[in-house]
Amino acid sequence: IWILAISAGWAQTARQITGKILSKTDGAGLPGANVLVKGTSVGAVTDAEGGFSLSAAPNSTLTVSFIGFISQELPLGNQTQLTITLVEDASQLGEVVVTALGIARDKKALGYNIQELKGAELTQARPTNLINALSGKIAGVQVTNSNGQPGASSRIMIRGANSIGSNNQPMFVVDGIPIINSSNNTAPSSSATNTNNTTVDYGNGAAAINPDDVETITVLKGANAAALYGSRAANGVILITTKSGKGQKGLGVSINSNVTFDRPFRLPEYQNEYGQGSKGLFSYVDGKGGGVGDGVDESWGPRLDGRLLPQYNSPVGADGVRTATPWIAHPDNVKDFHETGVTTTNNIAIAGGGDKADFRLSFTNLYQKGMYPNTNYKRNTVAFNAGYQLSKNLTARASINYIRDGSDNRQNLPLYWTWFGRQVDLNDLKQFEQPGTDPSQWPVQRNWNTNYWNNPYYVLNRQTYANDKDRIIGNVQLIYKPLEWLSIMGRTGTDYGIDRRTTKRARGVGLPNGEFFEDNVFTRESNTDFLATADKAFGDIRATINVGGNRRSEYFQRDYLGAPELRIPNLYNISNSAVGLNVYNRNTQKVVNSLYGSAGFSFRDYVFLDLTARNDWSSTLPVGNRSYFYPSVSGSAVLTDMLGFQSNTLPYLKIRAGWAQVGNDTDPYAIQQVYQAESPWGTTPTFSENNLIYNSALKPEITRAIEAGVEARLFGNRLNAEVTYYDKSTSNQILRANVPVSSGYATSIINAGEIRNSGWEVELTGSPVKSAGGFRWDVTVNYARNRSEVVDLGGLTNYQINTGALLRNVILEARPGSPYGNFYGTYYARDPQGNYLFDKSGISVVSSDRKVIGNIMPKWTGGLQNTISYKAFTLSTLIDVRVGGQLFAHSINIGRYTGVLKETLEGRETGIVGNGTVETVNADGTKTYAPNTTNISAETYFHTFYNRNNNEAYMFDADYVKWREARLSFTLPSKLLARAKIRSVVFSVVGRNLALLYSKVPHIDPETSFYGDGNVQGFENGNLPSARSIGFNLGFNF
Amino acid sequence: CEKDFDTINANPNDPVSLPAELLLPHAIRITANSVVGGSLGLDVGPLWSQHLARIQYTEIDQFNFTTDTQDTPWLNLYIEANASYQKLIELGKSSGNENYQAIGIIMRSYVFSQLTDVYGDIPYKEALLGTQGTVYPKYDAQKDVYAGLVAELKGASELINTKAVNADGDILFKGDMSKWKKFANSLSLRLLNRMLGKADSPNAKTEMERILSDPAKYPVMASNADNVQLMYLAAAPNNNPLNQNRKTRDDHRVSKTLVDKLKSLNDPRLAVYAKKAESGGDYVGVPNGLGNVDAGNLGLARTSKIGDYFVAATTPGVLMSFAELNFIKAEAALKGVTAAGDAAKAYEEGIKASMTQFGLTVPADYLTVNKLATGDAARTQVLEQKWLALFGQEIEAWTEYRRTGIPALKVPTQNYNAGMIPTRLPYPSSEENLNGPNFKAALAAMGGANTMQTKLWWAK
Repeated sequence: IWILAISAGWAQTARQITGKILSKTDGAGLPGANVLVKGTSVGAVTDAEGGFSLSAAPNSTLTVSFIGFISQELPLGNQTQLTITLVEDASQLGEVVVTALGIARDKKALGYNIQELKGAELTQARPTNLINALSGKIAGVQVTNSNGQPGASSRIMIRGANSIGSNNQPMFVVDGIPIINSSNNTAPSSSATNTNNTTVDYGNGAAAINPDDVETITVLKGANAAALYGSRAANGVILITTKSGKGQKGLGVSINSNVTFDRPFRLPEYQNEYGQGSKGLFSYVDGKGGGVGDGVDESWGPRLDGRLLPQYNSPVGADGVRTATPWIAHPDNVKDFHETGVTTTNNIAIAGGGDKADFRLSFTNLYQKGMYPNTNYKRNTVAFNAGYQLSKNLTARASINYIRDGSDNRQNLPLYWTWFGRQVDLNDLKQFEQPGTDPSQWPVQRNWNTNYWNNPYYVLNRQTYANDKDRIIGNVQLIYKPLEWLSIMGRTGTDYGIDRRTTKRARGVGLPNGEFFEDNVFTRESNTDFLATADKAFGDIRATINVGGNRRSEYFQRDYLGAPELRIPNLYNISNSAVGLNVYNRNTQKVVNSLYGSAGFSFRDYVFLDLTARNDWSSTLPVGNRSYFYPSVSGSAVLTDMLGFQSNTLPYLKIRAGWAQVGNDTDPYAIQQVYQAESPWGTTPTFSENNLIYNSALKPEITRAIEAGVEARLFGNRLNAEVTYYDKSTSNQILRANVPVSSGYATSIINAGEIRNSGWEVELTGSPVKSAGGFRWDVTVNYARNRSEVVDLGGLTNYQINTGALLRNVILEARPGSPYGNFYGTYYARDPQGNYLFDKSGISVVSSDRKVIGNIMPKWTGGLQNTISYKAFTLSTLIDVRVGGQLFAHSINIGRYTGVLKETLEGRETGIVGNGTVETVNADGTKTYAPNTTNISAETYFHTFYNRNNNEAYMFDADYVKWREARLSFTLPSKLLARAKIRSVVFSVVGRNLALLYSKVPHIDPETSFYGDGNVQGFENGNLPSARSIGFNLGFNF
Repeated sequence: CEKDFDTINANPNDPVSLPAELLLPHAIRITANSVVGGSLGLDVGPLWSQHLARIQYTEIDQFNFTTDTQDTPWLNLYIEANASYQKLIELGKSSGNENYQAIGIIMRSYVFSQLTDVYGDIPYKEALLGTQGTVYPKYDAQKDVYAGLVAELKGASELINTKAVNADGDILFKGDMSKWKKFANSLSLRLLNRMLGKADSPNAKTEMERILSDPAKYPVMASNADNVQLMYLAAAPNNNPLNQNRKTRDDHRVSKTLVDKLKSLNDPRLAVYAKKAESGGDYVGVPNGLGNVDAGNLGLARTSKIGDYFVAATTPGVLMSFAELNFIKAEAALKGVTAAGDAAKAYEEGIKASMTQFGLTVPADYLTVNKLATGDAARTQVLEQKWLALFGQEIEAWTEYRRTGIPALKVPTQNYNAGMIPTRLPYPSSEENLNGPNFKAALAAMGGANTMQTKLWWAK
């Protein structure tokens, strides 16, 4: 009764309070500041001009807080309108960042570069794959989005490739616990006999992290920042901190809803004047060579002038004869095949906190419908995070993420429109089965071609690649603080995932009786660690000592069962196999134990010295080489404080430098020779000598890195600049080097080679305009230039990065003296003046040997982000730049070969004389060159100038400038919200991949990767282009 | 900190050791698949010996193809087949079972002989020693490979004893070592026949005499029951590769060259080798080397497919036949190897063996009409009959054509090899890329670029 009386009394006398919160520095309104009526859960967040409005009883106290400013408590008295001025917190100017092992540090004390992104920056443009949100925002971080398939993988690489053989992607750590980012996209092939499998992208592990639950992402760019992570630090670390209820007073609810629409970012420009066939001829009988040119899936056929020709969909009379139908163009056939992809994301989160406890519970549902019919991606995430202070010096925390994601069908139809008849009306193919087909039997397709292709709608509906993955990432920790200066943390966590992949493919071209595959991929990584931290000041010197240990255990299992030919049509069960099963059954485990420590010293808070040491013991290495030690040292000095020349022009100047050594072990079971299982002969199991030469003397890889940099704030903090130079080198590389198969083996595991990367990174953050009227313009520029060089390969002349079935036999390799990632292949033969050589019949000559024809590494990458805010509106855009490096564009050369692309209209009626010279060998052996004058048909010209075996013809410069993101948001004025008890409402229009501002590659998106997120980059294969997305976002905070 | 590491890093998936016979099925299967199927068995051999012709994707019939054609057989024969045979030889030695050692040597020799016949000079003496530190093997001249193989086969034949061999593992002969012995010596004769009369292999004749004059010590195949052939099983992946190929492809037709020849001889094998055109009518061969459009215009249904016998799942994959051995003897007899007996008799035995092999009986007048002549004409007759009998043993058919020029084949008008039927397959790009110096030395030794125009040693 007493409580009721009080609240009733409060309700009677509560009044509407309005106010404005300003920054003392420039008098501008502070948007996003928190105002809370002390002792209640009533509060508001300031709008774009710093205004707020709430109900409060007279004589209550307002608590006003904003990051970077000193909080204030303000007795309200009788005021109903007030202006509050906040003072910048000088101590918070030195921003606190999360570093290796989750240790929070003052950024100014760091001897290396790290960069942090806030959750809001990640969710702005709503990428479904968290990695894509990093694109263009962090200097030295290169992100490649594989393709436009829903749930596709993305690759991230920091400061170039360190390792020739291993994957070069950074480690991902969520709330202190490492997680698995591997994709396991490659289908196990050891005993698979069906070669018709397309590459299916099942996404990378870190993509499952829900951007809505991320508080911050911190990027540790290399060995110097990540030395405490030891053997996994060489490629940098992405530290993800999820949101919690920490620091929150009372209960808060936030709801966010988003819908985005996807269209292909870029489609090729096709010709629409000539249809399928060869030599200008076409007549359909069976689509596999029974008619005239109907088995040829190229567009060198008759002109699309409406003439009458028998086609696959021409009516067939009772006598079996086709009635010829008009031969006409369908210019938008490919474009219209792509549907508008739709992604909806809905998130609701409840967070609460008090003096002793805090929690956050969030649920997110994401559904993405792909741009190809019947493809999708689904993800449900439940995240829970809680902490409780058990006693004065003991705190417990737990965090758990349950993620269920998957797809009913993942496909990207590589090269489907590259070998193609331009006359085909794809709309007509929606009827993908012959009407009247017996449903209990295999359906009979309708298609323009039955030699190479299945009807694309048939493929997407009857040949599906589905998966369903459950994943739990979680940890519990206890923090014990026996003394003011001593803290001991113990923690254990795991990342557990099971991915069930199911492939059901009905009978089709190259697949006589359909097939069914079940592929279960089970991954688990557990880490248990402790960390003791002592922090004490002795006069001018302050020392921070950390001592810790970790036990990591990894378990991987893959069970793959395939029925490559089915007995009963449409029955997708392994027991329905008509032939021997394809089986792959492997499990691997690995343990790494570690002990580490660090010591940090600061002198008067302006000179800093950090030392770290770590020893790892890895189960994967031979006895004697299992234990390895990594040290690092770094130092920094804040010159402005130290030398006392602080001024408004240069309030802050810091220099820093560091040296670190880290390393890498290898995969399990690399040290002992074993036999390889093969498909049984009837009931007799059989094995073969392994194709791999194992190595019983492996040593760990070692990366040594130096890093130095300058950080400055200029013009009264209007401009922040950070410049970093690094130079790192990885030696003793563990390579799976290809050897000539005449040795009896294809690959040898060796310990050799050195690769070096050096470069510059520049980050500039500025606010050119910041007016008292509420107008503000912020600019962030980042630039990174990396030079990589393969220094040595331990006697190998080259190392082949791509293996297995190669695209057009072009090799991606590492070669001493070159940057990592050369394309090596055949090229155009040229005369000494550099003109193309043609033979006497006018045909372009391909070299008989091979050479380096390109490289995948960009020279530099950069990003430019502009944010303009005025009152309730904020507009931000991001431009993403990549300069240098090449791309193997398979679809372009083939599209020229097949006559589907626009440029193949040249010379269709007149023939073509290739521009170049013809070589004559004289009697005395000298050579003379005369201009080529032989006219050949366009079909022959394009078949030979764009010869499929001429690798140079596929090479294009991969430079691009992309308008990566844009966002326009509107924050509802708080006056409108106070009555509805809503703290804030933000509405925004968001866009991703909006425009290709510059590219040297025609027809395709230069950012693509056919092989997903592995080391084999730079290959395009006519896969689904990435999406241009536009969407709407609505967020509520209660 | 290293407790349990040995257990943790012990591979639970793959065997460190195994019973020797388990190495055999996969290696034999891939050996047979590589010569009966794949690019060698389905295209290079049959198209370039004009047993078959392409009716779709005719480029390879004009000698224009992607590098997989030359890469894959080299890869499979070296690392899938021969690496396992090499291991089997080691296991035979270390376990004291000479018969596994002999089987390993015989199969390895067969594979090396196929490799050298297809590519020319090959890594041989230094090959297959990757785990012993030799990863960049030198190439050996073809004549040295031949001489080495003959010596190894002699050794293998002499090693064979009465120790048991597991019948399940030996999918070729079910553990019957007498058949292995016959294979070793018959294969020697095949090699020696190509060495015979060459100035740089003076011992060929003596070696042939050694084998043919001592059948007790060096037995050779005596009937079709001794044929070296893999009895394929019904279901993939253990079915005949042509059967597997036909499940999804229909690109081959019987060559016009072969159909015309069989017709002119009124040869009953035509009905086994070819089918009548589906749309009715007679056997219609397809000329080799047509362009896609011209070939397509002949009509899939109006031309002869390969005979049903050859596309069945369980059709044996033949590595060497009794018929072939008889033609080898006939040719040797014509060249004065007395232990080879009477040339005409061997020639007739060859024809009979070939027809019996395909379930036929020799028509009454066939042997009289095709009676063996004398002199050069006799040699042509022997080799033409051998070419007919080698249908299904396509690499051998192409090899014998390249060696002898018999039968006289017409080079396709449109071709990508300077008007020549290819003399060899180019080395795979992996050798150029990874074994560069040895690869270059081999080309220099053979006297040419990595083309299909360099004559191999036995063709000179």
